[in-house]
This record gives sequence, C-alpha cells and structure tokens, in this order.
Amino acid sequence: MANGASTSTGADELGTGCLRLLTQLFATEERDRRRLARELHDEIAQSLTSLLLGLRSLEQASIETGVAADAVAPLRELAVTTIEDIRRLSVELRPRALDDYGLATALERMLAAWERSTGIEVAFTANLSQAELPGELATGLYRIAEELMTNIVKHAHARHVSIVLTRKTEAVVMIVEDDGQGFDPPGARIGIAVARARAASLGGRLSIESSAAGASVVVEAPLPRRVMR
Amino acid sequence: MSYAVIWQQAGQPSVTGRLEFVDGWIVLSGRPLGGSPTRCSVALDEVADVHLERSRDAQGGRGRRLLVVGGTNGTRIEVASLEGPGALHELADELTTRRV
Repeated sequence: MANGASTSTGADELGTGCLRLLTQLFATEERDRRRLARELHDEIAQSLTSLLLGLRSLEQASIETGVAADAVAPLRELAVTTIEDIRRLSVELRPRALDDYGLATALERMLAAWERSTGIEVAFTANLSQAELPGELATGLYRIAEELMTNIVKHAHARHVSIVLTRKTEAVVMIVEDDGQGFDPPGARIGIAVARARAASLGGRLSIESSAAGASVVVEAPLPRRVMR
Repeated sequence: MSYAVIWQQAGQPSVTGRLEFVDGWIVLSGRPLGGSPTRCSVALDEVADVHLERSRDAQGGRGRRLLVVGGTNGTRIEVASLEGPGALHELADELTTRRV
C-alpha cells in the first residue's frame, strides 16, 4: 500500500489511456448484463417454475381432499422470496429513487443498505436538491459512489466511511473518505479505473489521496450551464 | 479479479472484504465487525464441494443466497456477494472451472 500517494485524473489527462479505460468500462457493463441475465434465468425463472408446479399440486390435492393448508405455506414463502429477489434486482439494475427523488435520496438508501450488509459505518451529508442535477450527472455520480464503496470493502478494511455531496458555483463535488489502510492509486485497480472513466465522461475529474490512515477520493464534475443559472 | 464479499466460517464472526484467486488458492481477506483484519486461504485441490444455497433468516424464512465452499477436512465457508446480480453464479462457475 502506498503512503501519502496522490493522483488526479480528468478527461484531458486521460489521453491515450482513455480508450483502454472505456473498453474496461464497456466490459464491466457487459459482465453486469450477463450476470443479470443469469440471475433472471437461473433464480427467478426457476423459482417461478417451482411455484407453478406447487400450485398445480395444490390444485390437484384440494380437488381430491378439500384440504390444502399445508401446501400453501411454503408456496407463499417462495412467492415472497421471489418478489423480494425481483425487487432487489430492480434496485441493483437501476434504483428508482434516482429517478423519483434524486441523487441524494438514492445515495442515502444505497449507503444505508451497504451499512446494514457490511457493518461499516457510513456517514452521509448532502446539500443539494434533486432539481439541481441533470439525470446523467446524477447517474454518473451514483455509479461512481457504488464503485468506490465496493473498492473500500475489497481493499481498505475500513471501519468508517464518510460521503459528502455538495454544490459549488459551477460544479458538484463528492468526497468519499475512509479510515482504512489506504490503497495504491497508480495500481490498476479496475474499480478506480472505472470510477475515473465515469468522472471523465462527465467532464470532471477524480483525485485520490491515500495513506496508511485511510483514503480520500474527490470527484468534481461541472454543472451544465442551464443548471448554473 | 476479486469480488467484494461477506464470508463466514462455522462458529466465527462474519468478515467483510474480498475473495480472490491466487495461484491455486482461494484467498479471503477482510475485517470482522469490530475486529482486526483477517485472512483465510483454501487450496483449490482441498475443495470438496461448491454449491449455492439460501440461508435462513431470524424468523426461519428464506434469507440471502450464499455460496458454500466445503473443504475435504470438513470445513465450511459461506460467502455472500456484495457485487450485485449474478455475481455468486459467476464466482461458483469460476471456482468450479479452477478446480478442474
């Protein structure tokens, strides 16, 4: 792990590496789609098939005996789980809160889920409203936050994470800090490479400061002129 | 390639961190809640069983999906993914392929 390391990358600086980064980005997206297809096929479709077979048995049993209560409970449980799976898939694919309530609410919900799952304490502060960010900017920053959280879980061994989302005159800034063991910014960690490419695609830049006491990632993306007015 | 996971061995606290393949080993590393960083390695040729199952929640209902890695010495490691749809299947495939 690097101590006191710092790097900054914006769209202009990506230069010849841009194509490689975007290729990684596309590959990652394709992998996600493949995962989703697999999940739908192997889990949800299988569950619904089991549900259908069970319901057929139930139908037959109730015709023959008039008693079907014992068969109903596991089917209901399966139905509930399947619905939960579909909801989870839907959120992971595209959180509806991002469209309905904006970036701050979507991030708040996503980070609360991370906190519940991992036990890592997450403090989140935002001081911008939904109306302030166009959709592509909100989506880009949301995906960057996801990448950074995954990176923290995998590499930082952190106990606490702080995310601050704020607006400057001509830009929106997201600062993600953790108290983990730091990581090596020049190292070709795919997650950081993807986050950088996403920041660059927003016309912004991503800076990293890392030490043995933790890491700080600053993402700054310009606001469109229509928003600055 | 590494995966963000939560993993747990029988009788041990769950650990948040990553799973990666290093040479012929599955290497799990991370930090348990309130604990110090820890690490666990399993040789691929000592893996006896790999399968997916559903945990039970506190009320006895169906909980989250897990990848279960069983060792030839009877060890059992449960792995939950933090990487979204399909990641556990991908991980199970990767493990199965590397064991062959």
